[in-house]
Amino acid sequence: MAEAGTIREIAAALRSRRTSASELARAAIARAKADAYNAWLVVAEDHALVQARAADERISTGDAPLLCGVPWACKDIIGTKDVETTAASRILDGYVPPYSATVVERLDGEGAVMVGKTNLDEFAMGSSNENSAFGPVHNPWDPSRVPGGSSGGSAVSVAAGEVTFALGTDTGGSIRQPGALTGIVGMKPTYGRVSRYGVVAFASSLDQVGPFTRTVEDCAIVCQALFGQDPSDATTMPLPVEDLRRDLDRGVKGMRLGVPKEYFIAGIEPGVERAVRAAIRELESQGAAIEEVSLPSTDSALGVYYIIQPAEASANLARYDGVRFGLRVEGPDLVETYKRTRGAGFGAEVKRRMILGTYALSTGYYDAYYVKAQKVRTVIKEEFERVFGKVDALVTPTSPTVAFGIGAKVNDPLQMYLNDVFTLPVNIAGLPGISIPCGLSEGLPVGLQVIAPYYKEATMFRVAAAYERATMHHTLRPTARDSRPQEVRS
Amino acid sequence: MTVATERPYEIVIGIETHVELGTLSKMFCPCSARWFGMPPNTLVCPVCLGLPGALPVPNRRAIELSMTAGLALHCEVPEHTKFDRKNYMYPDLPKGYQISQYDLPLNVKGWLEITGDDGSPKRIGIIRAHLEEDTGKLLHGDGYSLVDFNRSGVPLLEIVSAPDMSSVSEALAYADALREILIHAGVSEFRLEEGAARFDTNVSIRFREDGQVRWPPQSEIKNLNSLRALEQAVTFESGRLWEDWQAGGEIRTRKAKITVGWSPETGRTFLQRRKEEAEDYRYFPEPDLVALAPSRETVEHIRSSLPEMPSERRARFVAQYGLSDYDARILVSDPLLAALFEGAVAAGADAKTTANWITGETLRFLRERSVRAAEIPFTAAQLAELVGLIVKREISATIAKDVFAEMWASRKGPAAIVTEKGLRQVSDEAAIASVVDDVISAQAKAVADYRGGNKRALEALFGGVMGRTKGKADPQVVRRVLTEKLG
Repeated sequence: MAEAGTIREIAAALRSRRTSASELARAAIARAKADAYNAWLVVAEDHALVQARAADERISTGDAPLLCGVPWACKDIIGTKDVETTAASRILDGYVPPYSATVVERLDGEGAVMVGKTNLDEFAMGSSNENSAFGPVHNPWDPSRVPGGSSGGSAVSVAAGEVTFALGTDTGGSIRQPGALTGIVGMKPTYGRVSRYGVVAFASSLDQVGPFTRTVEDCAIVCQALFGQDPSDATTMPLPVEDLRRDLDRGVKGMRLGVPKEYFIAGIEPGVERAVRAAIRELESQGAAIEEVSLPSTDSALGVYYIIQPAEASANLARYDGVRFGLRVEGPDLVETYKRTRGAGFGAEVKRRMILGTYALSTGYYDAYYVKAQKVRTVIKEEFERVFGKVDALVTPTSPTVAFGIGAKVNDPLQMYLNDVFTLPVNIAGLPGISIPCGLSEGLPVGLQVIAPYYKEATMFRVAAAYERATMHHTLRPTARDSRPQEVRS
Repeated sequence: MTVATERPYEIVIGIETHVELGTLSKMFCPCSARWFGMPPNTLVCPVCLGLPGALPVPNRRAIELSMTAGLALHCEVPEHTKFDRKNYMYPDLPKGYQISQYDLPLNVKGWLEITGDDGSPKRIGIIRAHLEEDTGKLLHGDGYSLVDFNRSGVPLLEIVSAPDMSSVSEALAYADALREILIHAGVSEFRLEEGAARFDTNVSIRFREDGQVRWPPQSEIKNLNSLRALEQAVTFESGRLWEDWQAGGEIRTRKAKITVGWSPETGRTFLQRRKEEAEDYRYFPEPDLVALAPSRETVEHIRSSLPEMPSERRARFVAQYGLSDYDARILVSDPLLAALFEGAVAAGADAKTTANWITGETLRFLRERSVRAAEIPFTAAQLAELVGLIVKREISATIAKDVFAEMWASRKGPAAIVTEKGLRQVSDEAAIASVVDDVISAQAKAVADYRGGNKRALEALFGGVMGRTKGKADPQVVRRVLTEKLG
């Protein structure tokens, strides 16, 4: 197999004995090792082969789930028992968790084969994957460009055909934006759908785990395994999970789809707008009623996000003190040990956000920043809820731009933060959102975002699948523009 | 109302009590909360070690016990309450923040009653009682420190009193009353000796000078872990503040409170930090937990299942059973003793005699064996049986003590022991009279002494009769027959 197939393809091949999980794992390991984009931090060869052998046994019993034997990649912010987990930070250098995240356990339970851990912006803080302590990730469509972030490594591992799916985390767009910039499907579930237990915390009220896949159906299959209450995460909802593939073939005829006018702002690249407008016309031609709607507080979302997210992060990252795990740089006393350890262990962007967050929570500023941000957060949620009284889903661009050059925005944090202007309102409101490929602009992928009401992921998949079925964008591969040596083909 | 005092100043005391709740597991993880005496770092998991990715899941029982404590302290349970993060870094705090409650605690605006210095009942206000997690413990060596996380995450209730206590004795009465209420309500075992309860005490002095009321800033004495430390530290610190004022010391210019520690070795407090150096804890709502909205039904259910509180129970024991204040206080000091008493009385035993046997022999046995009331080996029904035998004069008090000891040792019922050992009291006059005759003829000298006017000689004869009957003769009958026969 030249590249990892879809889940359906793999399941069929495994059941007809045309291949084995072990063979698939060896091929995926070879591709990961030959990866030219710095997408991987750990290739867990032994771990993957052990899982693959177990998957083969399970398949031979004739009673294996769809994901059994399917190779996948795990963003290195998701804890994996006995496999080093660093969040791409020096401060977690050498940290091997004694337990796996619930999402990893669930995929283990399905028999999926984890090939390794992927690169990311340090502690998921970034939109370009340039903030990794272990170097930037390159976009397979043009290696001089970023893949987006923070889940850049996971996005590339799928976009480059190295694995069938990958897990990322999305706090302000960290799955959807790199999904858009690398031409694949990237999805963030409703807040509370998926357990965060064992996922290194960045901004607790915004973080959600979700998949990268080639197709909407694959996305729904992986979500089916991930969704559901976890007794170890008090913020997961005690809701039954319906069949997420139920509506994939229903089409959008008769659906009402909203287009928020605030998402077509100055600053959006013309090629991106063109591709997204064309996608909306396609949905309309399939029988959806398109309606322009307004989310007036959209331009406040970025400000709200850059209060709440750093505030939560400043507390979440306090545990990296050199006492129990990870890096420790000894000083003459306790405070100096803290300063040296954290000074050496954290990168510039992480420090910037911790300073921002600490400031926003300080006495005298708390009300003006944190409390006010929470109030605006409520307003943003209410605006979405009001709009969802009129429409079934929203369609928007995922990112205002296509992939930009490595280094182009590193010295301008504000410009960098604007990458997430269409994705982070979804996190602030806790809604589900998916990005699917909707064509190219200047030869680079553009993403279409579908946003659904709370817990209506099945509706979101319905819209995304209808679009995907009518177009060929998801079949495009980055090899055409790649000037770098391609990965080993078997 | 003012109390005559020899001190030229009034002491103003408010107490923050930290007490571990009596749950089996920790506040946010399933690890055992019974950390005392366990080998270091054996009761830990990713959650209470603060490992990356671990998340808290609240212990329902701890929340219920907190509300129970609040209701027992006459607090209101607000409809909305939440957890917050209190941020500070220290090696015994694994997450770099403590999950606590800031502006919406579980309990507010309560009170408890003590006997004030003037002898009349006095209400001490409870400002709030909130739930938080305990920290680990540091063990300091020579040039290094070790951390034990067994205690990390144990549920802790912080009860903040109003500054309503005006003397050391009122502070002690408050601590005692609080301890008694929490033990009675089944909230905590309040084991000061294990560090499972601690007091932070705010002390200030108030006085008149040059016709003005002076009330300089207080000292907060941190981490007092016994009533004795509380007493000594408050006495020392209030005296020190007064002397400092008299000597024109820094207290005259200080604007804010100071935090001090207490050294039992030197018997002195020592400065820990000034308010200006105080940390900014940057509280914010804990995003890993959802806000709590205790339903009114839950609150009412807890309120209606609250056991009777000690002060009410004492009053009832005096009124209903005719006990002395002293007996009532002892019985009520331990819910198990009170239950034993009421159980025996309910089984038909005489109240006063039952009280005497609990406050007397039972407590003596517990003391001598250094065990808790939970280890009393007999039931209330068995105690009632013993009291019945005594009241019906089927055994004497002396024999009863032997029976009691046997009940403790063999766990048999008193009637069975009496029958088995043939200890039933002899009240039959004819039988006793024949023994009296024997003694009179055998102890001629005593008889002569008695008849010669030495009334005390009767005791020797009485002892003779009791000895010959192995203590089984009814002492009252023996006395009467003896006096009759000696004429």
